[in-house]
Amino acid sequence: MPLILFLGNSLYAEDRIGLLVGEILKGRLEAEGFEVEILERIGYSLIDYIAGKDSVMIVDSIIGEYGEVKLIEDLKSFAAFSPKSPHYAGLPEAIELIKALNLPLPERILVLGIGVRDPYSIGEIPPELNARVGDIAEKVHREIRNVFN
Amino acid sequence: MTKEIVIDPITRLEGHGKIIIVLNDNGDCVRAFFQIPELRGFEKFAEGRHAEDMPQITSRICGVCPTAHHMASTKALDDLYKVDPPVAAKKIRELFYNLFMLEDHALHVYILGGPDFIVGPDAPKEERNVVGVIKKVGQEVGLKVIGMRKSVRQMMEKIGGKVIHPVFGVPGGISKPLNEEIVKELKVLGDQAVEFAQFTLKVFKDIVLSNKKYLDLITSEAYTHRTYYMGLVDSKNRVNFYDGMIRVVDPNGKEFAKFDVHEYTEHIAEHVEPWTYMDFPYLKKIGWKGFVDGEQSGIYSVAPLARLNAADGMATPLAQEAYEEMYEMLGKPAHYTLAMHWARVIEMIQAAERIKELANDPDILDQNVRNVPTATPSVGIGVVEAPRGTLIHHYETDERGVIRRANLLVATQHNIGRITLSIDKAARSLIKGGVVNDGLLNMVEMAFRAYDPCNACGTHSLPGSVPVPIYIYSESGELLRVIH
Repeated sequence: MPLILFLGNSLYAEDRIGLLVGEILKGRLEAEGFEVEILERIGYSLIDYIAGKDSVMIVDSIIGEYGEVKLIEDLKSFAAFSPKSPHYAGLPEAIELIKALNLPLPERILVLGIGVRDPYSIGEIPPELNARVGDIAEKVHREIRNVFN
Repeated sequence: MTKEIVIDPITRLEGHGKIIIVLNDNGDCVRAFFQIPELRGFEKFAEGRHAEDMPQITSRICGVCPTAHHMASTKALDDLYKVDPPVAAKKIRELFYNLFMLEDHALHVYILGGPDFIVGPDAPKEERNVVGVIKKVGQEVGLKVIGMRKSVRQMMEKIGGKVIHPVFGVPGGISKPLNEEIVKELKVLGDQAVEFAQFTLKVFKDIVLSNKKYLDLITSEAYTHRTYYMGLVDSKNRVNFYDGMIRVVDPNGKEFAKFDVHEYTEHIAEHVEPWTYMDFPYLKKIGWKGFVDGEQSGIYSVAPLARLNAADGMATPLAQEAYEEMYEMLGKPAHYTLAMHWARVIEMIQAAERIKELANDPDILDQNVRNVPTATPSVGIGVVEAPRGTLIHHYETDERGVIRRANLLVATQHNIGRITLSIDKAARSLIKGGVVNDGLLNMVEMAFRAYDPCNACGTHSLPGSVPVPIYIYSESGELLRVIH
């Protein structure tokens, strides 16, 4: 059963987008057979969730435009899109650590990045982004189904 | 003559700071700066919110040290509502907090800062990471580290709900009492924690202390500053992470001040520089004398080494032994920034021993874990020792408990003056003749990685990568190179 991890920080205006989308999709994805976690965690602590799974999809914010949903299959290239945040500061390293420790590594680990303009500012979600949350959730849902079906 | 380069303050979008190195015509470093953002955005965000929500809100500031913010905030609420938690609640909070300290210090020792020493400061970039650590110490040790962190985090979830954003502390106590089953598990975990912390000290001794090259590096002038040191101490002036008085010692180790957190504004002032948003806290009674160390400079430091310097000893026996061993070798106070790693390992031992002590304390099974507050709120101030140093939360509210003003003084702010000194001195000592290679840059980074700077999550750094962009300028202000 693929694991979908929705990540973000609910204190930040835009970095919370992964959490909001996760809340919308959780029930639907679980009904479709996915395992879903909505987390505010950082790289290395994700090991507890990732190790031992067959497939993992991580959904979180990337620097981009509102409404953009980007599938990133090569984690090494993820740094180019990622906000400088400990959410991902350790993800590639966490995967290296799983390998180095001979822990069971998922066959597929993918990232679905949701574009935000400012992942660093604390505050309320901007109305322009808030108005698109529903559409973004639909895009994310479609991508997840495309990847795993 | 050195031309001063004034750098425009970084934008919020850049967010996570940079190092600026200025070279003269010979390619020697003449000045280095470190810029990081501050938390003022958060303090504004807090205004108009209910103070009772702050332990949950502030724990989201940082994904690495949420428990520190949660606990400082909870203690500020005790003070705000003038309510003293029952004995059991205080002890369970302290136990919970020591679990966090152990886990967080382990993260730094093995993953964030440790690779500099365990793998080596001048090792190839691709090896200077946790995978390199495992290659050096063995897979079994790696599994032990991951396993211990996992056990601690699972226990924290059982006691306090979510690990990253606990729903544990409430004004006047904690949200739920412990049961016998959890205490039984805690006792087992306490034993394992002590063994793990001692094992970590052995790893540190075997790999770092037995290597003369590393010891020479630790005690080298490039990483030495004679500053004041600050930390919480108990009634016997021993290190305490959860509670106590704030003690400051001078560069000779003599007590300079000892005060309750409510008096912090009488002792700490802030200096502003035009090239950064960050204020530089300094000791008010000494004054701001610029970026210089010594008895006449108000720059001070917090974090593990500062805590040990500011105390007369550790609160537990095995940690005390390790403390004495360190100071026998380095002298007290120890002014060596890189000795921070050693101090961190000693603190892991104290945290583990306190977990064991408290797990075996019958008081923690008392079901009375909260005194419900009844006072009208006005001002609340709380303090804990975060892994990275003294953390103060200060709230002022209206009579409904709605925040009018908030001030958070985090460890990285206390340390920023000394961090700036450290980067400047390391860069000047190491960068000569225009040679700016990866190994040298890592050694400059080591100067600040030792503090494990943390500001809104932004500056935790993993060895093997450049955690913040490094801008290299000529004395005339020409940007020569940017290294990401």
